[in-house]
Amino acid sequence: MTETDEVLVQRSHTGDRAAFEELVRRTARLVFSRVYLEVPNVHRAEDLVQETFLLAWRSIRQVTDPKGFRSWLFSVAHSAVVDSIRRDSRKKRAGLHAPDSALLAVPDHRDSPPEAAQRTEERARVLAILRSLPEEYRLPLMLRYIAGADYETIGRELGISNGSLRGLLNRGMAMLRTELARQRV
Amino acid sequence: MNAQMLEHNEVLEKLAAYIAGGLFGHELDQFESHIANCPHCAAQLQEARNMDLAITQLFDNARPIPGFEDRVLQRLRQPVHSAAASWRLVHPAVRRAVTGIAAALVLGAIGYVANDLVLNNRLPFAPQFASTFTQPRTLGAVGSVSSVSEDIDGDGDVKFLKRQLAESTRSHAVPPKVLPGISPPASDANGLVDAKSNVVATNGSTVQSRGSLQLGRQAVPANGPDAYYYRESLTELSAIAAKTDAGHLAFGSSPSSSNFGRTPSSDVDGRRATELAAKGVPSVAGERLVAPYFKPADTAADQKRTWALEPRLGAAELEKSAEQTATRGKEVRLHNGFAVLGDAAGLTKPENAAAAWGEAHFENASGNTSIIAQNVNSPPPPSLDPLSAETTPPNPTASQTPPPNVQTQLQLSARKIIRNGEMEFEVEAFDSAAAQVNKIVQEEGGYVSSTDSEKLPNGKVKGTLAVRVPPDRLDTLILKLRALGDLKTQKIAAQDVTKVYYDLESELKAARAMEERLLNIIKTGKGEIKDLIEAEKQLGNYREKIEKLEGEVRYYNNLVSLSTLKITLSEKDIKSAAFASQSESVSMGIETDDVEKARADAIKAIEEAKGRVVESNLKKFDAGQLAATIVCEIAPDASGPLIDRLKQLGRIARLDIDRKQTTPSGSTGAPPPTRIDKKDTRFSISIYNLANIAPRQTTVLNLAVTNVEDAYKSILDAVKARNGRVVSSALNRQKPEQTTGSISFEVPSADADATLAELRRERDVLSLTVTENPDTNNVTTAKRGFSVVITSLATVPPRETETQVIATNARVADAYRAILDVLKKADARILVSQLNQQDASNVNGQLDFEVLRTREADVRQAISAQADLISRSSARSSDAENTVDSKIRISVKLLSIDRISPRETFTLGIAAKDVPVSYRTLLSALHEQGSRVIQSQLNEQDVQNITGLLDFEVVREKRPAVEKAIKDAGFVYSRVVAKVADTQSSVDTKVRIVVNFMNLDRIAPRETVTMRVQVPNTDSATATLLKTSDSASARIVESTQSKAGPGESSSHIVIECPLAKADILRQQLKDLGAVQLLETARNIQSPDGEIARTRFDISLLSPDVSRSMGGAIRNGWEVAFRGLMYSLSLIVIGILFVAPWALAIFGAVRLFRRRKTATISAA
Repeated sequence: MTETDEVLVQRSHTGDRAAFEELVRRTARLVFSRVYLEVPNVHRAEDLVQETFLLAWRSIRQVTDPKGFRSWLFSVAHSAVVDSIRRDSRKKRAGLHAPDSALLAVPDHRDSPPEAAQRTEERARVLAILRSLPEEYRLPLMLRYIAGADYETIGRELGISNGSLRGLLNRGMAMLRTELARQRV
Repeated sequence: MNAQMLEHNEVLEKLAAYIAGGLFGHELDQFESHIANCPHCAAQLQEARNMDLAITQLFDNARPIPGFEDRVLQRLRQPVHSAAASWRLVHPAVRRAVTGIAAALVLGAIGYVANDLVLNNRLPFAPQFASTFTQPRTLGAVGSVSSVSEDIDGDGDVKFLKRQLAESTRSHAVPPKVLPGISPPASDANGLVDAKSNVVATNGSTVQSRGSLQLGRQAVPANGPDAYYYRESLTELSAIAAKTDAGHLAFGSSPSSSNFGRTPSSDVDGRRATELAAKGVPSVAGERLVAPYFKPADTAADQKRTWALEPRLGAAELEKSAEQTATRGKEVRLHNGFAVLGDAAGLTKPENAAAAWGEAHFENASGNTSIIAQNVNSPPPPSLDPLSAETTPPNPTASQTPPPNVQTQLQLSARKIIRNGEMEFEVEAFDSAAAQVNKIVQEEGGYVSSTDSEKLPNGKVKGTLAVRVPPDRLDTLILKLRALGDLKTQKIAAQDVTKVYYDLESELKAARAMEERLLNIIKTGKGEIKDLIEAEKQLGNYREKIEKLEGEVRYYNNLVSLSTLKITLSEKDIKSAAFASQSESVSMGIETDDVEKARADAIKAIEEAKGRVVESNLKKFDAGQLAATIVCEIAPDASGPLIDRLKQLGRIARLDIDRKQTTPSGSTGAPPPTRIDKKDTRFSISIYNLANIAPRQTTVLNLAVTNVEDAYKSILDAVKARNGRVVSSALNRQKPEQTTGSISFEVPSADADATLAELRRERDVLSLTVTENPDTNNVTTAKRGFSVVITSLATVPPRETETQVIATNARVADAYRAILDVLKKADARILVSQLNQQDASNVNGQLDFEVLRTREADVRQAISAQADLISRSSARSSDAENTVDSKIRISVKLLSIDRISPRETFTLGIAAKDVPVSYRTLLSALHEQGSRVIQSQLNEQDVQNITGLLDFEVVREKRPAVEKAIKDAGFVYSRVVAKVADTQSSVDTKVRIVVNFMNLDRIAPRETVTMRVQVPNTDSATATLLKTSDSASARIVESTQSKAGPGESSSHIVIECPLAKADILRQQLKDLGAVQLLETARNIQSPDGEIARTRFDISLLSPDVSRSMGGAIRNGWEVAFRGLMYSLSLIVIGILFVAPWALAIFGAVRLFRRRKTATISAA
């Protein structure tokens, strides 16, 4: 637990699965939030996260700079997402409707339809705002709201200090607030 | 306040952290206390908290399900089990690439297979006409048969089909069961054709033939009795065919089947028949019957007759059928007859066939019979004729009919024919021949009615016998008479008097009937007297008429009953002469001095011999010439003594005795005449003296002399001295050289040869002809005639002419004058002399002269002293009349020797270190030696490449000196010696030398060594090399250093060194480093020896790492590219082949799905 990300990355290089698992624990929610931003579906996002880590494990040796592990992970996740979307679109084109998509089309049971529609709309709006925010402010917010991480977890996931996280979080929330306020007007 | 403000900002900054739960301990307390005191901040917090809550709620169900990390890890720990999952794990790019490659490979493979199939023509849908046609089973040979007959009025494709059929039938028997479908029922003829064809084509078993026979029945619609007969006939025919097929399987199928279908006549006939059948031919019944049956029968006969009947039906078979014909009766005969007809129309005798036909089917139809006969007789298609002629079998019914000559005789007996003949023989003796004739005639039941003979003057007998024999014996008589002798002419005539005879007979009958009636009238005595008298009168008339008619009838009977043969016999050689008369004529020429006396003696002698002088005369001509002629006739017995007496009168110049026998008929034929009349001998005597008699022999001489007048005089003197007689002489002098003289004289024979020798002495005889006059009346051998023509020698061209070209070393004019002087001294006759001086360097002289042989040597010597002989040609004219050999004509052309090219030319190549110096040295040396420099040039345009040329001529003696000078000038690396052919005008006294100067360095090296040496350090190696090359007296031609990259440098050096020192240098080079390449090439064309050099082409390389790898990479690229190109082509094929399929399948699947979904939705 005390080891830094860098050390873990180095150890993973040598094929240390435990080290990689520790890395997974530290970054899984980050990746999730990141994937969710583009694929706003929990299950699919989770699948994609799993896939992302599988890919990452196979190609962990590609990471030359341990400090850039997170950004590398993002790129892997991104390509996984793109691949997935491409696959879906292909399936759609082929007219083979995946049962998942059909299930996804089933509305949430907890909400009545109009409410759900409103929520969905609202969610899409917030996601759009989040997407438009600079990466550094966006990530803490995403971890907080999408991945449901607490403060400590956010810090760990991002691998940053308490002080800088506080600033980022504060400014990000302020930006989100102003944006939301501006859009409401 | 300030502090509060500060705290304010701090709290606001921590707001978010507080909401997120990121404040701990002191900070949290501080924050919370501030919030509690500051309503503004509390409001802020509340607002932020609201938003936070709202958003948290918003993403409430978007949050990962608890245990998210564990699931991820779980998943990570799971071994990759499914292939799809593992595939998934491969990087998408790699995946895509692999997929693409796999697709390309598949496409390529498909393309390759497709390509292979297309190229080898193994595609299932490729056009394979050939193979289809070679499989007659699939096509059905019989099917094609039917098409043959159906398309028979078509064109080319029919033939093609026929050929196909022929081929197929050759290899496969036609299955007979297919046959019934063949013929269109509308056309009988076609059916028949088919049936026949099939019978023909089927070379199989009997069963097959039967099958076709059945077909025949089915194919032909029953249209009345015609069809019935036809079918029956067919049956019979097929039965025969079948039988023979079974019995004689040996018959060759291939020739028959090849005949079939190709025979053009069968086409034609078939077509004709078809047309006829189609028209229905609205004509006589017989014809209609015949047309459809016989024509196709002919068609079939085309094939059938050739090999169906002839080879298969042996003689035995035919006989058998003949027997059947005889025994079976009507029906059988019908069939058989028809079989013969249908089977082989024209095989049997037409009448028989027709008879059989007619008998069988048309009881009352003689007309029909004739029609059929006509049809059968009527010329069948030309191609049939030879066949039928060939294959005519022995006529089975021939023996039943009476022999034809008996028939004719019967017919003849009714006829009244008078046969007369005439024969002419040449016999040995008439009498015996006549007796023989008599005998023969009696044997033949005849008699000799008259004999008439005549003896000709020459004892030969000719006669005529008239013989009468019964007409039927006439021919045998004639045959027997042939033995008599040579039959010259024979004429047998027959005169048909039947009509006249029977007219006479009927007239006679009528007359007799009339006589009878008249007699009855008279006997009964009824009627009036007047009438009776009238009847008597008439009776008389009739009696007279009857007598006359009877006479005529008798006459004719006589003529008819006995033939008259007139035989003329003549003995052989009937025209030979009976006697001949012999006459003799003697013609004599007597030379005598006293003509008159001799004549008187001759006449006296004739009279003594009781001769008769017919003509006699004596003539005296000018110059005391006398001639007497006597013509006399004397008894033949006395002619011999008279000749002897006349011979004593003088010299007998000639004596011709001509004896001739003549016969009255003028012929001098072989058989000697029986009697010879000797007539008087006729003498024709000519007596003359020699005064004006031409000499028998005359010598014509043509003399050429230097002085004509002297010769003329001396000849005249000589003639006089020998008692000769000068007949004529003339001397004609116009110019001294054109003087001619002619003398004609005669000398006694004894002196002739001596005279001739004297004439010839020291004179040129151009021609000598001796003519001998014909031995006639007026010539004598007692003297000899001479006719001499003297001409000046100058006018006679010499026999030999020589043309010389000479060249002088000295001045031409001097030599010319010197020669001219010599000629004058030698009394030569100068014809042309000229000296041309056009320019200083081109002087020539021309001298044509004639000189006597005696002085020739002097002249030649003088000329050769003056100049060298370049060419000489000597022409001797043919030994014609007007040339002399005592002198020679020489035509001299005098030239300067400079104008003549030397015979030998040396072309030298000289390599010199310093060309200009060598050039000048040699030039000055040449001037010293006095050689003639023709061309000299020094080319100094290019300092590196100075060339020079010296072209000069030098006298042969000075050549060694010149050669030495050349050797001094430089190294001779090439030497070409050219000697012109000896025929050209060239001299050997000088030589021409062409010297080409060349820089020594320009000579190509003798040896080229290409080396590639890998050295550790090129720079130092180069330096070493340059140093050592100096020691080996080498020359550096080229030197390039290059540096390509760090540690990679190369150096290219070209060095030339003498060949002798090359080995040292080579060794030193080898010591430099690792030799990668060593190539030694020798140039044989470049000079060897001391100037031979070796060129080293050295590449010094630093150790090279990348080179081999680069090469490998390049190679790899190349191979890969090539592979790519190949793959591309295959892929294109694959795509073009697969894509349409894929598209089609895709479309089909789509359609299928849509329909399915549609049905589901509908449901």
